[in-house]
Amino acid sequence: MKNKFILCLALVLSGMIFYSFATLNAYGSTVEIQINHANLKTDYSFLKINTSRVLFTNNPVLYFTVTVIPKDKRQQADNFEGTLTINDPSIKDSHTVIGYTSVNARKLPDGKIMFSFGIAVKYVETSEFRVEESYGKFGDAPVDYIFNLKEFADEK
Amino acid sequence: MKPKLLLCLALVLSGIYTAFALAYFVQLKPAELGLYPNILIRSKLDFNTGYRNFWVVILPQKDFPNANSQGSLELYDQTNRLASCPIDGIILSDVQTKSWDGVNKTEQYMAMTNLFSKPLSGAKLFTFQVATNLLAASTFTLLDRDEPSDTRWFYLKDFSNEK
Repeated sequence: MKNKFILCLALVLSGMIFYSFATLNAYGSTVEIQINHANLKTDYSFLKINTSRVLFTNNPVLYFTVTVIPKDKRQQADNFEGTLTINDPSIKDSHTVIGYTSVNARKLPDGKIMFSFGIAVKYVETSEFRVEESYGKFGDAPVDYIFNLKEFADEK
Repeated sequence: MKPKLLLCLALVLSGIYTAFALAYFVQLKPAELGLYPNILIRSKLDFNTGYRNFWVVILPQKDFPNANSQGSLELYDQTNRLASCPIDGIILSDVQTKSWDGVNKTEQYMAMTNLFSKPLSGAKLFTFQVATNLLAASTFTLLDRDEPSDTRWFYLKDFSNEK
């Protein structure tokens, strides 16, 4: 009788552990991938990053265009979320963020998804952009592709 | 005679242009927000980080369909443009769907319904955070993709009184 009780307890506990792991995977674990020049060309070639420089008086602004070529044709703009974090390198504090916002994803007629934004050159050094790909049902954790703007500041 | 005619024509045309600009590029001010019942704006200071969180909600309305509405954030210090980006808005939903996107919409729906004390299913939410020293000259603009002339904008400082 005691053995059966222990068996039942073990089953219940293992079920609870499995459930908590499954929930954690579904809600909590986002895969983060840091994009740089090298891996953009080899592993993540579905991302294209271009810049163009515009001069407003003495304040140059760098415009970034990030294009995603979806791996699956069913993917929509809704499945990609862009986030821009602007940090001010001149702030000598633990909180250097001066702007944080999502960036609108546009689906182009050819199926590509495009983000575009502009940022003053003086903030490029310390700011980053993140594309979150969330596609599918629970269990398919989102994947975040992150890059520092300075890494691609000279990309034409 | 001809120069006078041209002058009159120029005056009339510039008047029409100004009237159109005033009619369609509307600056939102807290005192006049009652004129636009489909636009809800709140902001709160994050005391830990020193920046201000903004929430702009567009309720669905016949003459300003929110599905096509788009937001744009322009950050300025006193003299310079610092950043410019179109903001992604999400349609809030009280119906939970089995996807990441669905969970996010439902969570945002609950948070926004609490913040604005009204049900907001179907509304479009734009959210962003800006450092308090940049609020004075920075702006947020709402426009309709299909009707670019229907544009509403505001200075962030005008909606930054809430603690």
